[in-house]
Amino acid sequence: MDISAREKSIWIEFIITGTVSAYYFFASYMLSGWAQIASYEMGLVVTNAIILSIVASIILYGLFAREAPEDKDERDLIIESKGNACGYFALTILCAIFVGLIMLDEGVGLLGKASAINSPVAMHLILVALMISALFKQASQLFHYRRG
Amino acid sequence: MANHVIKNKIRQLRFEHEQMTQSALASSVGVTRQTILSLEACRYSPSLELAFRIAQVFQVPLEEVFQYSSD
Repeated sequence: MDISAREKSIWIEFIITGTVSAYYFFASYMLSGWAQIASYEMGLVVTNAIILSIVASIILYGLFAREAPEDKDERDLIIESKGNACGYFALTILCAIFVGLIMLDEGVGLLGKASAINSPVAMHLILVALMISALFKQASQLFHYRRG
Repeated sequence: MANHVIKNKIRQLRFEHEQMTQSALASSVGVTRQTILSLEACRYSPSLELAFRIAQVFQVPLEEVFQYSSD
């Protein structure tokens, strides 16, 4: 497969973002259902997520992307701006959904007590929105690099 | 509505110019080899500036390199 150093770098970022986010959200949800932020266990989860991202970066860049990416040309910039547009769109949609959820929960109480959205859960929802929009941005860039 | 496409003769011109490689053309015009690859496959339409730079490398008029056509 004919693939540029920049595209390789985006693939690696995509894999690392997905893996680290999946670990963080799964581990923090298993810990307290996202209901706490400041605790020793959460500190461990965050530390592990940072270590995981550093180790994954060293391994993946060492194995697959040793050469430095070339300077961005006009096609790279166009693809980057398409990726940004896609990521921004995803972020907007997710924020609208989460605002709607919080309004339903706090204002009308339609979600019931079991799904109460407190501050830590709201923070995690924002993190989910940021992570998914980053993945959308990278996926869109990869799609456009492959399409031409 | 007709589907307009910018076609080009970059590949042919490269071979007419001492079989210039994609990498050599890419570095002459300041883009990556993947961009030249996409241009030759008509999957990417270049900016006017890049189109002029490519024509300048081959020392031919712009319309000899790029043609605007509808399918």
